[in-house]
Amino acid sequence: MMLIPGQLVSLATFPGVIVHETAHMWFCKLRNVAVLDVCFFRIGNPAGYVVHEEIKVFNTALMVSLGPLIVNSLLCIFICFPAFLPLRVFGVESILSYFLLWLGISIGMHAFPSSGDGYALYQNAKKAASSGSILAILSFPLVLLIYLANIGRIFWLDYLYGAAIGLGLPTLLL
Amino acid sequence: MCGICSRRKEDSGRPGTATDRSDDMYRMWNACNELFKNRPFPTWIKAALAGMVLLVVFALFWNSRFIHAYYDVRRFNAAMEAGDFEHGVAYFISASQRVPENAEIQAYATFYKGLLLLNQDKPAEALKLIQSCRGRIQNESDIDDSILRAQIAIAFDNADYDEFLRLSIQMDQKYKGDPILTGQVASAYACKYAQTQDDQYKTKSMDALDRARILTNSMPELKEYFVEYEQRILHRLHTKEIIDRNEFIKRYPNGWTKEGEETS
Repeated sequence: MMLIPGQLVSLATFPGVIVHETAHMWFCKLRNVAVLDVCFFRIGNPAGYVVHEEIKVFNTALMVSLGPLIVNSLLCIFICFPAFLPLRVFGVESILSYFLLWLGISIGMHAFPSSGDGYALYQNAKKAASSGSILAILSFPLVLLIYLANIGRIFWLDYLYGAAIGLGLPTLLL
Repeated sequence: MCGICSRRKEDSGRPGTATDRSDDMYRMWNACNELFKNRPFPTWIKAALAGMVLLVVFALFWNSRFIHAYYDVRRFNAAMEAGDFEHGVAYFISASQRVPENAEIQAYATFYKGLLLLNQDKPAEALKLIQSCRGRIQNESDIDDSILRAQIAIAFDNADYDEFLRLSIQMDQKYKGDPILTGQVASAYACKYAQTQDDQYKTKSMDALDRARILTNSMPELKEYFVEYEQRILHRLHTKEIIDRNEFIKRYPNGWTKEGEETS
């Protein structure tokens, strides 16, 4: 088996993949959407997936698509925080802090909804927009952002996002 | 046919009806539908999440000294802004004790402790601490100035008025325009006058005092302190007695003037 860089990144940051799929599944359960199949992590493309029934309500589709953005981002902040002060403020290194940083940023860098999530959201938004849903119309730029964010992964935008919310945000707040 | 279990309704023998959707992909029995809507999270996911929460709680507890140290540094900054140097230094020393691994914080704590001792008229102890910070903190000129301040105070305490004068002039030339430093030169000349009774020192002292008085016009915040400083110098020139600030305040709590000896 030959690993390509994307798979290597997924392997190195596997907690993020697991949390990403867990977030999708959690939002499916919250919105009463049947989850037909789920893979939390595998070496392959995609590294994880959640197959759910067709979503008929746009708000639900939006929440399921954006679930990882919310859950992964919050967990990233939550996990990185205990490592932030010793590492960034006091420059004291420890295995625990570096482990937390790896875990937090791994989770944060998988916060972006995937292109597949973006496509599903686009399809739902198209249908809902035709029936006049303002939220659906407003979500088109979001779909564009999701695609741009996925292109940005080539330039490590996902990593930069994880580092920004894990370490940058506390810097701004404290 | 159920899109999930692939069994026909008549084959399954189970209760439940197919959804009314024509798309086979999403046709599923109610029983299957319920199963997939309530699909539980695997135990290992729940355990991993619980482990993650425990890890963060443990890390917060383990690293709580950094949180306390951070708040100590914030309190230090607030105290310094409020001009409460003594409490500020206490907070900084507390932060340094919580994070002994950080060499820079240790060095600054030592430096601030030295400055505090200097303010408490313990220049010899202060000098040792401040000198030990050389090469350990970023701003070397702060160390140089503090060492000079300590040396000036030591020279005064040792009644080495030549050294007191030499160092005071050096400091005044480095920071031209500071009325307190110019006043310090006047003070040193006044000491020399009190020691030698040589009128040239009295003249030089008065000249320096005039210059310092003019300089306070541009620094009104120093005026109150300068008035007291000036009284001490004039008292020294008048009585030829050299006493330190504490003794002066003790003797003349309401200030001193040549005419009234003590102001009311």
